[in-house]
Formats: sequence, structure tokens, C-alpha cells
Amino acid sequence: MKVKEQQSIPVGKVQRATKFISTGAKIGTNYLKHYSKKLVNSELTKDQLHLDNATDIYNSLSQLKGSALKVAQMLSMDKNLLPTAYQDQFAMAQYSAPPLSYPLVVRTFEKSMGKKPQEIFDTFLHEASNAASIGQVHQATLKAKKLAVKIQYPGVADSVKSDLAMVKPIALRMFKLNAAEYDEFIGEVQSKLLEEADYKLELKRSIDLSKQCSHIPNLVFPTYYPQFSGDRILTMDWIEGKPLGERIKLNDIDAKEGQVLGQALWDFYHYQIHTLHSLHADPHPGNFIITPEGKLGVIDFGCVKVIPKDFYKTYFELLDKDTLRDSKKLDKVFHELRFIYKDDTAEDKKFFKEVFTHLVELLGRPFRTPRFDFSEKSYFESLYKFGEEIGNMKAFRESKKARGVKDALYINRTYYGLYNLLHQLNAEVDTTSYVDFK
Amino acid sequence: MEKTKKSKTKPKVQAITSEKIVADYRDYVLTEGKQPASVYKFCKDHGFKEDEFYQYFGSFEALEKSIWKGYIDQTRNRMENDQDYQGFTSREKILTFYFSLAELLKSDRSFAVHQLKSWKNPSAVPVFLKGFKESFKDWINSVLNEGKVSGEVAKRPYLDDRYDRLFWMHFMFILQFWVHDESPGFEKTDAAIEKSVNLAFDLIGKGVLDSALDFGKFLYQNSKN
Repeated sequence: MKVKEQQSIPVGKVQRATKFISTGAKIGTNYLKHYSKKLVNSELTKDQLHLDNATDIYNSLSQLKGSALKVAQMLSMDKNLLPTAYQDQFAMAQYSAPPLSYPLVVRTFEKSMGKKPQEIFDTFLHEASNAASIGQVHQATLKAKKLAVKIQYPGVADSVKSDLAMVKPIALRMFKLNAAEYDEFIGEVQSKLLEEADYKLELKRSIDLSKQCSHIPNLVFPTYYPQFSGDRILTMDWIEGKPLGERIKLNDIDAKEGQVLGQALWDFYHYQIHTLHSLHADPHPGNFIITPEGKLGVIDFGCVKVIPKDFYKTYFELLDKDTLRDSKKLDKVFHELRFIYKDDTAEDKKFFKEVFTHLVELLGRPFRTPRFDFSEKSYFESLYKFGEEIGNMKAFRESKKARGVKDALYINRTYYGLYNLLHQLNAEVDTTSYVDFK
Repeated sequence: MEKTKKSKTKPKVQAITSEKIVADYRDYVLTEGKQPASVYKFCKDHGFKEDEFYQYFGSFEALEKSIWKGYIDQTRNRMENDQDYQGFTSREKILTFYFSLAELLKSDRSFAVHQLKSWKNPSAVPVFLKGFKESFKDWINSVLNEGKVSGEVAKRPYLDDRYDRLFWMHFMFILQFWVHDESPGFEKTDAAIEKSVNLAFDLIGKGVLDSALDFGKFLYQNSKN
């Protein structure tokens, strides 16, 4: 009897499972191939990494140090460039994991919640609908309401530290960082990764931030369900629509829609930065969903950066119009942000001041006009070109000091992602809204 | 006085059950770190007669065997009563089995680890696992046969009837991994199960191995000509 039942069982399911695994394996080998080649021959990487772009920045980047790297990250506006390259590098072991089998999903759920998914929900799809960064999402229903249940891969929290330790030698070589810089930089990355693995913290932050941002027009936040969430499980409303990344790829966002979404994004980030001093630091196109009504759904608060007060004051002084004109003030800010050190030679001081002034002028440009058009190609090209120039500057490559502070890492990353999304949405944005400085 | 006397005599009146013998034995082994000196001493210390012991178990080894057999029977029972289970693929059934067993063993970890650590020679199956192994082979063969029917497990003459041994070795690996796992909630064992079962199924499914065998056979046949 049993054998017969089995016969009718889903060859399709088996095939899907196999496909899942081979895809996982393929991604894994791609990374390996990519990084091993990169270490041996940077020429190869250059070509493979920028199929769509003739400009080589990656090669220059690999010769940059510390904060120059962080700054270059902001500069390298090609969406496929640094974030994927180094983020995936650090999280390689986690992200290349194939999806969990259904029995392990049930097991993880049961361990966390004390019950099986089908005992809590009316329906629970066996197959994951999405991969989240360190887990996967399953669709469930309860009393005709659609829910998204995020399940964390077992062992992830435990492996963050060992994963990071594993990539240390590679990172030191790949980015030519010195050990002190590496530790500071990686300390920040590590604390964020550990936070991402803490679903209880994520639940709390998701509820807090989405409540505080709920008044911003054209944003949609799911309701979170603490009673169906645990240390490895996070349950929220299922938001209908398509991920922003998918819509960008399809290229079917019309000008009006892009405008609305772009402004919503801008408002969302600047309200968090300037009013809440704590922000969703992962503007990845997969973390947003465009609803059928053309609103922006925000679904992942795994990575939240709390901005320290002192740092906030200094960092945003850079965007103040007057600071750029006031050489003394600028010196002070540059010292505090460690772009320039007291013991730098006069020549170095002059050099770094010039470079960083230019950089601040470029990156702060959207803030200096009441409206800014992010669709403008020439702006991104000049950013890009300057990034390349920095990459080729000998003084940068040979400086033994970390230029920049760790708190800037995730803020830079956020701006990098935000500018990129706005560019892809071809949005012209009212840059004064929610921006709270003169 | 009378009252205490009464309550003291009460257990003697009750029939000695196999559960009580097993519980006393487990307690002794975990407290003393070794087997009791003899069945005689064990019975005397716990207030029952030797023939009551022999009514259920022929020796301490037989008793241990029944404990381990109990683990697998309980696991199979629990699993096969699950609605979802019948619809699972072979891969999912095997995963469910290991996960359920790991959950069950967690509640008796001290005893299981004590037994497994006393097992020094990995090539020989220890006596306490013998009944377990039979039950395991029965079960794994039925799951693998279902897999052959559904096409999930490749049919390979001579090889495929030895898969049960492969899975037994694989299971021994998981047990050893679990014994040494120190992660919270034994999460790493979960990951080890998931990854190793996936690998095992990639190996026994149609794929590289069949092409390699086919090619090997071709070369062999041609070298003879």
C-alpha cells in the first residue's frame, strides 16, 4: 500500500528539491571560483564582475584601504559592485546554503514554538516562497489571513563568529587591510550580523520602527505577530505585490509610480535618520515590495543601525552648506571623522583634505538643492569617475591609517543603496522633506 | 509508625514492571558510571527478586538492547502517526526520522551518551545497538524501496541492496556527531543531518555516479576486446 502511495508522490517535488540543491551548489562554486580567481588574477575578476560596465573600479578597490574602501563603496555606484562582492565574501558560508528541507523547517519551528506549523496555522506551504538573508520565508494562512513566516537556518547565530574568523586572512589579502583596521571594521560587521540572527530583537525593532514610520505617506508595513514568533521564527502579514528588485529588472515602473516610490523611500530614510536616529540599514531591492496600489512595502528590519549622537552631529555637519565654505570648520569635522590625522604630514593633510572635500561636495549635492533628479546620468558618472580616480591614487593605497570611523560604515552603505535605488527608479525627489539641518 | 510501615510495604505489593527495572538500572548506571556488579546485587539493592528480573531480561545487555530498541520503535511510531509523513518523499522521511530521533534522545541524553562513549571499537556494532540496528534496517529498506519506485533512488544492480549498510554507517556518523555536539539545542546536529542526508541522496539518486559507472563499464568492456 505504502509503496503505491509513494508512487503517486510527486516526482515534481523530487525534481524541485534536486534543482534547489544544484542551484545552491552552483552559487557556492561561483563564489569560490570568483574569489579564488580574484586572488590569483585580478584581470579575470574585472571582466566577470562587470559584464555590463567597461569601467574598472573593482581592481582599484582591491588596492584600497580602510575607510578609503568604505568611501569607495559609496562611490562605486554600480549596483553589482562592492556590496555584493564583500558582503557575500563575509557571509559566504551562510548565503550559499541550499534551502531547508521541509522536515527541518518543521523541526526548527517546533523547537522554537513548541508546536508544529500545521498545529498553529490553517495552511502552511511546504516550499519556501523566498530566501531571506539568513533564513527562508514560508506562506501560511490563519482564518483566511495570509501570513509570511520567516524561519532562520539552524546554527547561523553560532557560526557568525567562526565564519568571520575564517575570512579574515582572505579579507586581509583581498583588501590589503592591516589587522587593526580589519578588527575595527569587522567588529561593526560582526555585531550587525549577530543582531540579524536575533529574531526577538528584530521583532521588537520591526514593531517599533514600523509604528513610528506609519504616518509617512505611501509606505506599507506588515503587522507582526509576537504570539507566532520566537527566537528562530518571525511571523508577519503577507504583503501582496512584487519585490522592488524584480520590478526594476522588468523595467515596467512608469515615471509617476517611480516618483511616488522614490519620494516614499527618501522620506522613510530621512525620517529615521533625523528624527529616530536609528535606521533600517539595508536598502536592498529585495527588502521592499511594490504593492498593487503602487505603495512601498517594507519587510525586513534585520539590520538596524542606531546612530550615536556625537557621530550624528559630526557626520551631518558635512552636508551643511556652510561647512564646505568654512575651511576651519571643515578641518575640525575631517579630524573628528578621521579623514585626516593630527600626525599626518602637511602634504598628506593637504592631499586628503582636497580629496575628501571633493567627495563631500559630490555626495552632498542632492542636499544642496530643494529638488534633486536622481535619474541624471551625468551625476552618477562623475561620482563613478571620481571613485576610479581615488582608486588610482598612490597616496590612498599607501596610507597606513584607517581613514574614517566605524559608525559611518552602515550609514554609507545605506546612502549608497538609497542613491542607487532612486537612480533606478528615475525619481526626482524633494530633498528637504524630513531633513532636519540647515 | 503504622502508617510509614504501610507505605514502605506498598511497592512490594505492586508487581515489578519492566519499566521499573529499566528506570532503576538507568539510574544506577548514571549515578555509578558503570554496570552493577551482578544481577543478584542489583535486584537485592532495589528490592526485587532475581527471577522477576529474568522474567523480562536475560542479562544487563539484553536490558540495554531493549532501551535502544525502544528509542527507534517510539520514533517510528510517532512519525508514522503524523498526517504529513505518508506524503513525504524518501529524503523527507529519512530527515524526519533523524530529527524525531534526535528530539527523543535529547530527553535521555545522559544515558545515551554514556552508552555511546563506552563504545570503543567503531567497526563492531555494540551489543546494545543490535536490536536497534535490525529495526533500523527494516525501516530504511522500506523507505529506500519506496524511493526506487518513485525514482528518487537509482536502481543499481549489486549496489542498491547494500544501501542500507551505507545508511547505517551514515547514522553512526550522526550519533557520534550528536555525542560531541555542544551547540545550544544541538542545532549543529540538525545542520549535520540536513546536509549529510542531502549528500547521501545526491549520491544514491541518478546522476554523476551512474554516468561514471556506465563509462567505467564501457572502458572495461572495450579493454577486453
